[in-house]
Amino acid sequence: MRRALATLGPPLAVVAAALLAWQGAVSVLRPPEYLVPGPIAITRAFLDDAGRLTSAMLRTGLAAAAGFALAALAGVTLGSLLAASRFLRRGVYPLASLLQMVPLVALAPILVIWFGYGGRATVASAALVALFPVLANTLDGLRSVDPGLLEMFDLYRASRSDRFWKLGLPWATPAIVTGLRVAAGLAVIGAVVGEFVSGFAGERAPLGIVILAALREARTDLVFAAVGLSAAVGFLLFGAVSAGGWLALRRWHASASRP
Amino acid sequence: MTESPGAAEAPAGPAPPGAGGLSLGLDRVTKRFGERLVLSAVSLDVPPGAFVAVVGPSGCGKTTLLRIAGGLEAPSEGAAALGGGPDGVSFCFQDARLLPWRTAEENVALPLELAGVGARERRARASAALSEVQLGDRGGAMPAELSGGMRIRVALARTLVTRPRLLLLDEPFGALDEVTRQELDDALLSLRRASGATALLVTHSIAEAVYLAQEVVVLSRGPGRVVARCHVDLPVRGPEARASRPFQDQVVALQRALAAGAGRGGP
Amino acid sequence: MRHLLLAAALLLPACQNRPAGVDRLRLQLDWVPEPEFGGIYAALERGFFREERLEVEVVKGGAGVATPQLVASGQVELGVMAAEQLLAARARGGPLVAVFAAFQTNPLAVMVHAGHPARSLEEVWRGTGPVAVEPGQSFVRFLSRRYGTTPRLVPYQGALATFQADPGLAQQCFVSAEPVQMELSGVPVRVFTVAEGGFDPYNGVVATSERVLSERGDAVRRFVRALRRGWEAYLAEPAAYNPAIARLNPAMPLEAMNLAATRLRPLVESAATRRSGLGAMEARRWEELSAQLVELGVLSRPADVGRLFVNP
Repeated sequence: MRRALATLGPPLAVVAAALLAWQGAVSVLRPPEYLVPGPIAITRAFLDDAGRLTSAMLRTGLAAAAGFALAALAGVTLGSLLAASRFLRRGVYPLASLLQMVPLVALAPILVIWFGYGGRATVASAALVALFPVLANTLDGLRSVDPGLLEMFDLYRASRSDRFWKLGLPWATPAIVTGLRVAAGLAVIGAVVGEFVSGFAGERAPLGIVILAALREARTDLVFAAVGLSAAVGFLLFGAVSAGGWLALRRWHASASRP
Repeated sequence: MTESPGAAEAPAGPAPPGAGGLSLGLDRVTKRFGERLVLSAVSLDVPPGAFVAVVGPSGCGKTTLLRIAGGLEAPSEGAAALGGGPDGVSFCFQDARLLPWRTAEENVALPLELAGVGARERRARASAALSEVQLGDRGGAMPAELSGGMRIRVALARTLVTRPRLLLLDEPFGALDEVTRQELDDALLSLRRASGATALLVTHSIAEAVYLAQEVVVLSRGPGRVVARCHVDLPVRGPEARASRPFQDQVVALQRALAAGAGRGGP
Repeated sequence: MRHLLLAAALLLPACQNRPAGVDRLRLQLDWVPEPEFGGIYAALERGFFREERLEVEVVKGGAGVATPQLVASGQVELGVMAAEQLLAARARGGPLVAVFAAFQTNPLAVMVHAGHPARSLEEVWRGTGPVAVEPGQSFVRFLSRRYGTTPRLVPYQGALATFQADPGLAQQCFVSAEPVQMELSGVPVRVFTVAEGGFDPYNGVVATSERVLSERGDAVRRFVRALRRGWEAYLAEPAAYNPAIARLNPAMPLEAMNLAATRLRPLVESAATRRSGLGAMEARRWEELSAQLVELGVLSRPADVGRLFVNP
């Protein structure tokens, strides 16, 4: 219990102080609502529309999580394939890194044409953005196995399969977890951007659409509320991944034991 | 001197003929890495069940020699031959090379696992091997929780769990303190005696070489050439030997041979 | 030292390349350059702004550009927007004032493929197919309230490819733009205007902030004068000015622009403009819109119509 307080205490204190300062500045300087709302106005905007915003948050969260899961699976699989084959690595890796550089806003409309409106294109968008860090880190982890251990497995005449499942993959797990952490945040961004071009509006609006509509209606307080919720989604996803990483690594890796 | 519990008081004379020990023959082995000559026409004959030690200064190529013996490297000239087939060879490295995500027992069981041995038998044999290196109660510990010496002991247990017929040991206890090293030397002595395996040990400790081996080969500074072969004949093998006169004489003689880089055979 | 100062004083006006007494104004568009901004580009081409001692910089827009916020915060002096956006911004503390309404009849519409089953706006709205609209458009709330139902709404960000690919998709458009492009690409469409559905606010509204109006009111007045002349010129001969627009927007072919321009006149002209000139606004129209927005929940209370527009 005390440990939890020690971990959460400092960041919560900083956030609380920042919110107080922000609200103070807004109360004193009184900027127009459409320009800078204060935390109280933002909270009120959330409470007035709590049901709709919470559904939006769930929708975006689920799409981001689904996209993340896809990216995790595909990233580890592709990374493993590339690690195994120099030919594939030389052929595919440069293309995969190109993928990272194409701006998502340009790709997103194409995703809509391929996958249709609604959840599917959003999940695809999230997966696309989150893929590369997982792939790159898996590849990196697998290729950095201690040569002494590799030699030992050679001596034991281990099969290729054993070399992967019993040496490569466990060795690469810390790197993969790092990649997954990055991918979690990116998946949320990918989901929201995907929603800009494919999300349903009205009752079933996800956060991306809420943001766009609020911008058009000059409801900056609502924009901030929706952005805050998407940050919360990212935070939750990141936390879940970190917890998973801690569970996987806690018995043996330094990164999991340090607080 | 502390008595290592596993070491029995042994009769004098060479070890009994290895029931399952492989023989090893190196015939004028020369090795170059690119332009650099590392070994020059080294010949070595290790009969089944024998214990041979190779000593020499740093850089004399003794590790390379061991790797050629085990098939990890190919000689540039000459030949290395195992009598009795490629199976049954076990390496012990200077670094423990444990998988950090597995417990000690799981690490020891690794070679059996990779060879397809069933889970229950694996666990039993690994547990027994750990007991033989006095780590029977630490089977569930992770490598990070063990000291350096304990990790080497786990590695040693892993080397022995496959019941090898040829042991290739590359300064396995080089990183340890003297007391631990002596304990592990004793453990090695008794375990090998029980199994009858052949052993080739590379070490920079002459005392260790004399303590364990029947023949000690001295290599010169690199490129390594054989400059001395000494047959070690101790009336007593075991912890008491260290204090005995014959032992110390032998060590001194070898030190001279090492320094001089000349002479052959005999206490 | 004196020589340096003299040289600087002589050089500075040359560097600015502008004679003294010229006002600089930035105008933010709310979409990409298209015939809907014809009057602006005609005024530029014909030098009407220059004649009024104005240097006007036109900033392109697109999907998602928050024009009202940009004008209210002072990033630009003038901006083009829909009337309902002006009212929403004013309600959130953005003091905008409308000075010109290019579209007296709202050009917003919903288009469907010729083979689509819907025969009216109501049928589109009650139908099962998706309707692509810009998120936050007030007409969506209006139609949903009027017909008591909301179709499956998807985002419209300006791309025509999705509409072309999906025969069941209905899509927001300006009558002068997207339908024309579709017809010329060989895709016949049917168009239902939002105005016919009962929601007809001004569009193409040029607005400025109260501060700019009070500090540079004369410049604004000269701007509107030049703009009015620009629209007159454009309506008379759009083909003369469309090439300039086409250069700025390669996505819309010149042929489409020419055809679109011919459909603008009935939307730009009205009884009010015949009385008071192109772009003139009436309080009645603003009051009507304010009441509609209150009913839709976009505004919490009616707007003070007297303060939000002028006819300079």
